[in-house]
Amino acid sequence: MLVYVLKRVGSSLVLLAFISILIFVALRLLPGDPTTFSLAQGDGVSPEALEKMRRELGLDQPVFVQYWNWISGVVVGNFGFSYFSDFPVGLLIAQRLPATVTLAGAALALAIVIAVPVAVVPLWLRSVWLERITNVFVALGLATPVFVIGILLVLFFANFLNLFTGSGYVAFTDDPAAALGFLVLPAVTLALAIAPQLVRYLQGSIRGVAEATFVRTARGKGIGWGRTVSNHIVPNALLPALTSLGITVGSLLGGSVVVEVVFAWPGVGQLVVDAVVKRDYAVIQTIVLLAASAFVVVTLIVDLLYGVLDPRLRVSTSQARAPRSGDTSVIKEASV
Amino acid sequence: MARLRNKRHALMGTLAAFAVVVLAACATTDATTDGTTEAGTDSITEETSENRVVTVGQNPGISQLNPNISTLSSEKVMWNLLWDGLTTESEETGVQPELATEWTTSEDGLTWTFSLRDDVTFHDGRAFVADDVVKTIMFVLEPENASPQRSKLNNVMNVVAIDDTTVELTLDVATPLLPAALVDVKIFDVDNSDKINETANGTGPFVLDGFVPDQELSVLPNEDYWGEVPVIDGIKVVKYSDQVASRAALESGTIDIIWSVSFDQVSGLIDAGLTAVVPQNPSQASTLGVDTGSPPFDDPRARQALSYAIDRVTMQAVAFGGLGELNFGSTLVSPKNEYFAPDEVIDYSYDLDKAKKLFNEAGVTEGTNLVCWAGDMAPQYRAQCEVLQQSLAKIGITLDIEVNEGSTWAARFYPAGKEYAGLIVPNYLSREPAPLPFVVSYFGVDGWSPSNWPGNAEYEEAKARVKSVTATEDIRSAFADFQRITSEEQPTVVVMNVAQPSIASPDLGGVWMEFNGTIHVEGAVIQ
Repeated sequence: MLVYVLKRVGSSLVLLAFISILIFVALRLLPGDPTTFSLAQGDGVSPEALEKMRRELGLDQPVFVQYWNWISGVVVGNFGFSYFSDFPVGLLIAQRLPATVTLAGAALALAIVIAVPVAVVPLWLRSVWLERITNVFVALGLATPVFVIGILLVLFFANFLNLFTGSGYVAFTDDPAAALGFLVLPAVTLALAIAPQLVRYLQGSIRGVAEATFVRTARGKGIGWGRTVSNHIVPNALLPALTSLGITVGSLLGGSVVVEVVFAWPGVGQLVVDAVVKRDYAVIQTIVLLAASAFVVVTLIVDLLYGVLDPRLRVSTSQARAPRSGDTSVIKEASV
Repeated sequence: MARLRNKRHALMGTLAAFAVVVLAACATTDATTDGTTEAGTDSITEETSENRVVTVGQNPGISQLNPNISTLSSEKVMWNLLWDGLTTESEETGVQPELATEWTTSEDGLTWTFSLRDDVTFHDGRAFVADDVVKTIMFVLEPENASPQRSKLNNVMNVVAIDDTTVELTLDVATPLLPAALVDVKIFDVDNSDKINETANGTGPFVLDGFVPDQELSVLPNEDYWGEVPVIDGIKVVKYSDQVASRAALESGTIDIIWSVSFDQVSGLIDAGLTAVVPQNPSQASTLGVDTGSPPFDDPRARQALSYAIDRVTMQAVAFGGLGELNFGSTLVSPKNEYFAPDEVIDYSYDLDKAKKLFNEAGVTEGTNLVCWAGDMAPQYRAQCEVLQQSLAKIGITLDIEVNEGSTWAARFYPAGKEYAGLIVPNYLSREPAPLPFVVSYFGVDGWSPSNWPGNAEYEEAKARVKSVTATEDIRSAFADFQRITSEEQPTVVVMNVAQPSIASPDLGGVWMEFNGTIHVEGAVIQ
């Protein structure tokens, strides 16, 4: 297990190093640099002034030197400074992270609350029609861009019904009730964007488990359908669906960028959009690297958890040791 | 029994979720209509009967707070909140004293003496003195600081503090409109400029409350302000990236004003009962830029042909929502400006025959491919390209349209000196109106227009006269020459003069816009 963990951590670090190089180089290949946005359009700005700013930003140095300067800082927690506000990138992210975490957390919880019943109830009721209706809504959800969902919700619930606030943000620490009011529409929007994916994963997983031999065995023993679903199918189907959580986190990060724009939600998504437009290299690089790290860490945790939660994998580990002990009976039992 | 318990749990969970949603809805309703909710420093919207905070929605946001290195027009909203200048622009009376009380000039017009107020303090409590003016102007004049205000002060040779309340500026060329050049030079605490984004230590009517770059700026009234203390309880400038979201926020009362609304949305918003805020005498211009240093537009006939090929009437209707004033003379002087010289400019009314003839003379024949290089920042750029594409197709010229995000778009032709042969670039310029002399510096020797037009002796002579003459008739004559030359040479093709409007709630008063698009919300009141 330790070797497995070390291997996974090692490969994750290599992956992150590769991503850091990729984003660093890709940004330098884009036309323009920070001076394009901040200075070049100004009245009467001299070429000397542009050169001075490039020098100050270190943009006159070879790319590998720039990369080393940045990545060596990242390793010790120094992400650099925004070229525009001069604020430390860490501070800029910290200013916005609570908003993004609040939104993503609420949306993920809501998406799970939506997805599990939607995937399970048609099976539980054994209703083909309900499953078809569910599939239509899932397809609709997958096909609808997240900004469309957001705008429709704003128009209906904020402008027409005047039930929720259409945009803005209040921190929970300042006013929990108001914060909840601001959170509802963006969280629902993001949840509706990722819930269809979760439903699909769950449906696939449930179908696979429902056809398993132990389900037939359970039914053959006379266990009712409701108990079979709740005690045998769903718990076993949730486990494979857990692996989709990494992908869901990726969707959350992507979706939250759009939702933050639509709802003027002051999160990391808006920060990165601005940074891309302005070529604020230090901000973009850091956010992309941190987002990739979050993605990799979640995937790693899920994989490790999977091993902990699924007894078959633990048995498989024993299986590797079994031939040395000469005892094959355990393997046979496990495979049954 | 267990099943019953599970069902009861499920029911309780459902009720709890419903209660949360209802609570959230009630909380929101309270916050927005009953006005009983007070938000903290992180809140974006707070407006109660006791707490009158004006919220400005805009895109892009404010990246930094130094007004003297600010190049984004979106940042101008904070200029008059946190900062004062020696002079200011008034809606009714034009340029008038602010931190200066009066000024005198020497007979040769080369020495200007400004008397300063003695009752002004910075937000940190320190007294404002003449040395602050000296340091600020020196900061602006330092080329490496890249201040956009420097181009207006490039005749200033020296600045000294005579005493705490007197400053003397020495010029190399008489500059009659120096007070106008000083409007945008905001006095700041130069010695602590490295902390400007945390403190914004100015002398303006508002003090900094909070600043999250590109997200939110919040200011509170400066109770120690030397002038009239603002009547509202604060102003927030909040970034809204999405036009639809900002419109919805304005209509629901979450924000009070949207700065810079895209033209295609204006009429709909006015029809919805909202108010447009536009300048009385807009100097902004919609232009089509070309590289005058590269073929085919190094030939002035090609530039004239392009000007004839523009269906300005259709472009106004399609791209600008019918707003603005068509500029058939194609110069940077608006036809509504009192110094407009209709007899000096060529009439570039839509004429494809003339366009084709001139294009042919310049070597642009049928089958030629050109590119319209549009930015995605505003929808009118693409629309302008599409209208031009239709026109050029009728004379056998193919115009490909490429739409790019802001930095990619700008990097192709900014700063001046870049080569971009065959590109036609829709752009939007904010230049000062005549008789302010600054517009003439845009072209020619020392000009910074990306058109790369080097000017000629006649133009430089006209430019010098525009900058130095004082009598009205002389100004008129000099500007007539400027218009004649630029109308013939077409260093940049001007489509029309149109101000990018802001849209406000009908409850908001005291907001106005300068000719160059700078919005003034410092005197805002909620009625």
